[in-house]
Amino acid sequence: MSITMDKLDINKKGIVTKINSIGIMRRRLMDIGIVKGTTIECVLQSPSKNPKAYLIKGSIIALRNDDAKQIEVKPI
Amino acid sequence: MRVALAGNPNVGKSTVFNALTGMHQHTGNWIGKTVCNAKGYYTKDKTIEIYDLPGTYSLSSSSKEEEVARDFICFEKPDACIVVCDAVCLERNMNLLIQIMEITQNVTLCLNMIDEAQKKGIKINTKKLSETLGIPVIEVCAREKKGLDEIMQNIKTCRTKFKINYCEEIENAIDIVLPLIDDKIDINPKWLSLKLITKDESFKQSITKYYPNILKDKLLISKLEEARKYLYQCGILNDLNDIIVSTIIDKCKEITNQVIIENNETYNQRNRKIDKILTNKLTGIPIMIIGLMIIFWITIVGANYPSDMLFQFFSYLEQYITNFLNFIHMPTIIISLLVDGIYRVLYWVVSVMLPPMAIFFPIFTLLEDVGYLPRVSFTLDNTFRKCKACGKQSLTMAMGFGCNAVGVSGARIIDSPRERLIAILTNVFVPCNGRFPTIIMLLSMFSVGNSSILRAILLTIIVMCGIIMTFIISLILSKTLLKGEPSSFVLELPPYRKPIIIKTIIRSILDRTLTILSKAIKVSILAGIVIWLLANITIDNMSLLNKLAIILNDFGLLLGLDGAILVGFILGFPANEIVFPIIMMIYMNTITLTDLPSLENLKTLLISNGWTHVTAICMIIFSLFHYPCSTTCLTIKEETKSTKWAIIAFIIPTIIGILLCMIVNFII
Repeated sequence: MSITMDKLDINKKGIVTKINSIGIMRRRLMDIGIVKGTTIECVLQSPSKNPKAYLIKGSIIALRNDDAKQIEVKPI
Repeated sequence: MRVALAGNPNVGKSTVFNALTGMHQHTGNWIGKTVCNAKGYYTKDKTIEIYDLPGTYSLSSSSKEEEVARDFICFEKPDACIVVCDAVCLERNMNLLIQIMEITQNVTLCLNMIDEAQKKGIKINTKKLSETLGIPVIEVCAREKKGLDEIMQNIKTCRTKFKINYCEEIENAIDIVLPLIDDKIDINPKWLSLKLITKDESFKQSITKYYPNILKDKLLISKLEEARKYLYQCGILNDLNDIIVSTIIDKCKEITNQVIIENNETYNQRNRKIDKILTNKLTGIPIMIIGLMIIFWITIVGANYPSDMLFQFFSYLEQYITNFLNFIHMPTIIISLLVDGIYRVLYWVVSVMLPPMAIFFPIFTLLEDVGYLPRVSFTLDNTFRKCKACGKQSLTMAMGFGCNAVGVSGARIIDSPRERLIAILTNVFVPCNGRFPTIIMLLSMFSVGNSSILRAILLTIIVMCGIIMTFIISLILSKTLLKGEPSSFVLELPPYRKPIIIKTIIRSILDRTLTILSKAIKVSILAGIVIWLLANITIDNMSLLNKLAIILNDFGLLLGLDGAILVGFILGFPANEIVFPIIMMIYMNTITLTDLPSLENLKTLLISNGWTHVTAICMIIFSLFHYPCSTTCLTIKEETKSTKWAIIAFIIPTIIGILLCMIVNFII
């Protein structure tokens, strides 16, 4: 069962199954290592729960929920 | 020999650059981020030129920085390339490394932060890494200058044979184009073929600039079409870019898995805990505000003594300068212009401006070095998103505290042109260091009690008003002049790092001193002459300066101010620091900027000229909201490449200031 990445609870991990972003953002996400099969973990929420920060390949990357919504992950 | 220095953001690339060249490029992303290439010379061999490329994750064309870095490596033909990688997150860093190795063969890997990696339990088999990639891999700890000479010894020799193997279909497509790539072009032909097949518009523009004829070759174009058609038939043309990126990312993973021997938790528990506190709903924002307050308090208290000392020193010197000029028989009028005009403005500006800046800037640099500022961006992003602006705008705001001109050029870190303009137009709402002293002085005179803590609290409230105004105007701009939706952004929260405190402070103070002195000299010569002329040319026994004040008096009173204050703001256009001295000049009817009398005397002087609490409040409001100084206006014009936006940036805060002052004046 895949969910979108913004729905990933804090401290929960997921494996990327699909990226729906297009254009420059898609390329940017892939360049920081978000490709199919990457494990990501939601590690931090801002006060309003948007944006959230994710642990991706050893670094912490903050994404707005609108952007995270474009990424599908399978929780593990 | 020319060497390019490339690397991801936040990997200590600037530290490596500084260590190699002995230069003092600002580290950190918030002040004068490199979007163009900085150049320096290797300290031990001046024939080696080192180019600091902008920090990027990739060489695709998803941002200006990436284009600049790619074009340099591709077309400017550096003899060697050093790629700085963070040993702590090698896998992600490897993406850029491999992309660079696809273009050029002479690459050296500088594995920075090796000490940090060891502390985190990450062990890297550098020998194996070097064998797999076919390039020298040097362990470096740039902050302690370990391993740097080794890099430089290795850059000359390397010729790597490393290549990425794509899936069969892509390799076949490359083979269709490969024979037609002119071997005069000194770029890896395989990479170039693939790049041309992908139809990357920005790359196409760049290559046409350097090789105008390549894309006019009809045969090549037909072969490119053929390759694309073939990929289309294989059903992968649309996913071509994805497949290329994934192949590289997978390769990164494969290599890292082979060479990393031990890897405990990378985002360690301590960092996690600090982050939870700093970005928490309940604690995040209060900590930010209290932090700001503490910084202001340190600035207010700390700037007092050096300010006084500088004043005494300069006025002590003045007498000797006058004596000397008399001694060489300079005409009295010229002496008056030089000393009463230029010199006094200069030392006013320096004594008032320098100490707060010299305290304020290092503190902010330290906060950046520690890694706190990106957390501020993270915490505040939601509000910026609601204003349809970019979260990185909080970083340009932070720069604005130092100097609005720096904040304006710092807005380059924002990719979307619309959001960048918003950041530029609203930057003036955070008071820069030139305005702080005036506001602090007024607070000291007119606020109840004498405690510096109270002053810091009031100052924080004033600054918060500026920040709230930033949000309001950003939102209004997004709904009117700069309509649009917030764009996507990726913000890295780098790990907390122990700053090099003493070195940063010394460096920062020295840099500031030099910049401020040069700015002060420029400003003072101009402003000094104008003020001196206005004060010395008299009509009906009254100087032009006072005449001007009388003309503007009615309008000033409407704003809760008076004519003298308005003249101060107008003549203070080149530098906000001289606004207050000019006002006093008019009150005291002297012909030059006066010495700083004690606050008590100053208050008496102001009150005898009709000042009340309302005047002080209105003056603070107008200091916060009025046109940017001339330097900032020029920077806005340069950065936006349009006079129109500079004028808009001038008008918006001025109108707000006038309206607010009028309202306050009528209500109280």
